[in-house]
Amino acid sequence: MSLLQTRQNYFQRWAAKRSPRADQVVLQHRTIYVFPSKQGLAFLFTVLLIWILGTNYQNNLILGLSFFLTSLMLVSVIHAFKNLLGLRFTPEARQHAAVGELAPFDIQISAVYGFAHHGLLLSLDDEKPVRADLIAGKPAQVRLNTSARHRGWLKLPRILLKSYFPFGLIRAWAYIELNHRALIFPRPIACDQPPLGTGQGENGIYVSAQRGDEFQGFQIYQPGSPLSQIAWKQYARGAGMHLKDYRALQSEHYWLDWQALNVHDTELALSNLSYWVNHFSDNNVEFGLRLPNLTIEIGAGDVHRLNALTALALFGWASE
Amino acid sequence: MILTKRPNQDQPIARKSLAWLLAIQILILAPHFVTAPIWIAVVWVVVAVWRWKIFQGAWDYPSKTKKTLLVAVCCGGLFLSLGAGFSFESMISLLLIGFILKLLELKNRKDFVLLIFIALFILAAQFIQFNHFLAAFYGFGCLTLLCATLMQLYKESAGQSVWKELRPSVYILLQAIPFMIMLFVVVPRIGSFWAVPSPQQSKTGMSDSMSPGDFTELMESDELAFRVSFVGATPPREKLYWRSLVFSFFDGRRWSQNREQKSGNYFNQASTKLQSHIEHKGEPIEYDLIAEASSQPWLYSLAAPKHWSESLGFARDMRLFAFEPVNERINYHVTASLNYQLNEINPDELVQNKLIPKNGNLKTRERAAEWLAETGSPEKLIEKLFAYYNQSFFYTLKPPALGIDVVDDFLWNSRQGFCEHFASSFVFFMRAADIPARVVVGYQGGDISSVDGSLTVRQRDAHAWAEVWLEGRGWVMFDPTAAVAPERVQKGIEQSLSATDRQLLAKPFGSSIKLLLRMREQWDAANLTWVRWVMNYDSGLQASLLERILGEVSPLRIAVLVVVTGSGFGIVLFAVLFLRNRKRDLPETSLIYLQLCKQLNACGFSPLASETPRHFCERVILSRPELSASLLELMDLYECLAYGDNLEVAERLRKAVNNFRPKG
Repeated sequence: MSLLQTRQNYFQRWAAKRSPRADQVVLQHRTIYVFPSKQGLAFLFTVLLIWILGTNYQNNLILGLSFFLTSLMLVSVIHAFKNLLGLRFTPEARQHAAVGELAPFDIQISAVYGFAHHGLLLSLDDEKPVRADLIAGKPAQVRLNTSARHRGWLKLPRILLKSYFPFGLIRAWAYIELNHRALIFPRPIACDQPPLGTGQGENGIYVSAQRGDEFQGFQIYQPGSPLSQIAWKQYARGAGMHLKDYRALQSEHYWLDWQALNVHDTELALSNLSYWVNHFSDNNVEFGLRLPNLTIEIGAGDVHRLNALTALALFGWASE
Repeated sequence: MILTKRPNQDQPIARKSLAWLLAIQILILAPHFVTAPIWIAVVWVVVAVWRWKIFQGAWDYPSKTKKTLLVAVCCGGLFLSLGAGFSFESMISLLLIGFILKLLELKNRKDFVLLIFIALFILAAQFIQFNHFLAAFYGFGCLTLLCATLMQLYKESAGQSVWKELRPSVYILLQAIPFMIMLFVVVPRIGSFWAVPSPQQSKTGMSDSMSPGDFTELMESDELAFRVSFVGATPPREKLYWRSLVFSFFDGRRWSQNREQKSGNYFNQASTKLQSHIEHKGEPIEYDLIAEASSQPWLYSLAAPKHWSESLGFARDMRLFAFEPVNERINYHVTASLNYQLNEINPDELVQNKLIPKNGNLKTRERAAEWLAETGSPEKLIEKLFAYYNQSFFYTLKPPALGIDVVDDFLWNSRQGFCEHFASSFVFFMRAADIPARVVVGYQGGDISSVDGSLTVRQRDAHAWAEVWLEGRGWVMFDPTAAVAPERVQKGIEQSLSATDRQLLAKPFGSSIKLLLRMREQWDAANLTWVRWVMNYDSGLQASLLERILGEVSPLRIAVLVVVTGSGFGIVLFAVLFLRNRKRDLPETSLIYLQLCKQLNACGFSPLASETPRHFCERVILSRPELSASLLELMDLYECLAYGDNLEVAERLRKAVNNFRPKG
């Protein structure tokens, strides 16, 4: 077993040398491997049985069939190889996930030589393979998932591409090292109190930057504004076109502050902060984030949440 | 992938795959029902319906008890219909039952692939029974279906038609043919590993005895007995007497071999002694003979054989035989001289070949003695007897039944009969006159192909004649039938019969129409080629073929041949696959547009990368206004097809593009 493992490791290192990490990978003959699959070995066994049958009965037709099946397997080697030849892998938009979730990687597969490619099975680590078929030279998009274990940038692990086309007798495979990464946020962990810093919304009522239903005053009309906002009464009085400005009233806004957390464990602190970032965002509460090296101003919305979480994810990753 | 234990591989079987598998089962099982009990077909129907119901979710997979019960019932059925013996039929039937019942265990891809592999083996087993070249085509068809079904697991379905599903497999199979031929030629043939039971078939053929009426069955059979190709010119058919057996013993009704002839001694020293006494005269003739399976050890040879394949034996009554019953088609090569003298006999044989039963056929005995006294010499006696045959006998396949004294009744009473009656009465008459004589059975003549000059001998060419020991001349052949119906030996049995009799004879299909006859000859010639070069390709033929290719057969040269041709095929195939026009995979609309572009290209227009088809056509119209009407119509159709997806339009558009002639 250990010998097998050593040999496997040796093969892996050798294979890794042949397919270096790149922004775009095109499969060429150097990086495609073919070998009979387990099913192919079973097939060979069947062929052997047929050959024995033919030899015992001295029947050339049966022997011919066994030779035919053998050559079918030989020809499938070429087809299996061709099925992977000229596949181009390019990374698509970067995705994100939290620690403990599955990190998605979007990849585009296209056919350089324009032939069809069937039954491509892509997998990361030991995840369930994802199937892709490239028919009529059309590119295909696949999303591969791997479990996110650590905060920060997650490099796309080596992709194992397999195909058993045409008859499942030959396994053609290739390793793809692609420059692609996903952003992994800290795992949200709840704590009793939000770590609030100084400068919280003073007791008074704070006017949010977002539209709401509290009347704040008039604004000069700008073309394209919704008709419902136009102050028709004022217009009728001849005061010109004005817009009624309604704002949401926010009774509070919060500063999530690193300093307020009295935790020695950086990761736990980040996890708590990201919990509150999500919590506030889900409840549409405005918040700001103060980290030792970075401050994110008060805000709300998905982009704000993303910014905050990115800051948390990359806390301490400054070098990259 | 299929054999790993990962749960995600436990994929269920698609509806289409199941349907294909069932269709394959029908096609693969069908030829086996020649030997297998027919109730297995009923089992198949039940199981197939059951599996389909499982697929629909209506029924469940059978429980363990049900499965056991089913297996027990099937095995019991096999036992009842075939008996307990280890016969070919029971082996095959057991395999078929397994193949069928496995359907009920078909749950995931792994089972599916296993079933397909079993199907391959069963497909191979059918060739034990059928090895005509039509069987090879049938097998190829089945194999295509099997491969297409297997491919469905790995390939996105192309969809609409069966042919589209089959096409990729057909291509791959065709690509595999050169490799197969190379393997077929080169892979060494070795003998059987162990004795195998052969299919039991009741074959019509020469039996080991001859009593009146035995030959009628043979003559009603059109079955092939053997084929011959002569190395030189084909001798005239009246000289082609193919000896199978010699009968020296007569029990009053039945001719058979005597004890001596059956004993092993007869084949060993005695026959080698005889061999040295055959005096060969004239040009030797050489022929290759391919004998069909007869389940009997005796073969067919022209007198007198001079040299023959080593695997054959030579018996003292100057005939060739195989050491084992011929259960499979065999071929052998013989040199013979039609002109010979056989001058060796031992005293025992002299006595044995004069023996007749003590009682019966008194009239013949009397006449024999009388005539011998009258004529004075055996030669003259034979002449007289032949004259008698010629004058008062009638050759017919439907003679009246003979009484207890078979010979008397035939010779002096009914006087109607065919070869066996003539041979039997003639030999009896000679023996009654105290002249040693014996009956020879075999085949006479055959159909000479006008295509390749080969000879096809069928069961209906069965014949019986006689040999008489004449002092000083040795064993001399006489054919009393020829005295009555000379056409029998010159033109074949068909020409020698009356119209009503001819109806009895097995008739080759369409023998009355010239064209069909001609086609039949072509067909037979193709068949002969198949048998000679494919079915009978053995180690001997292999050695001579390899010698012709390589000059000298050595493992190194064979290895070089395999590597060079094998990699040559591989490279050519890969290059063809790689460089093949990749348009095939494009959608229909693009293909049509490309054709249009090609036509316009011939007049010097080519589309720019940024142009849509319509823009391109409009640009063409600017410089060739006369094309305006047809091009605009084409574009309307094109857009209708591209965005409307109307199949009818595709047809019209294709026609329109084909008819579009921008040049003239």
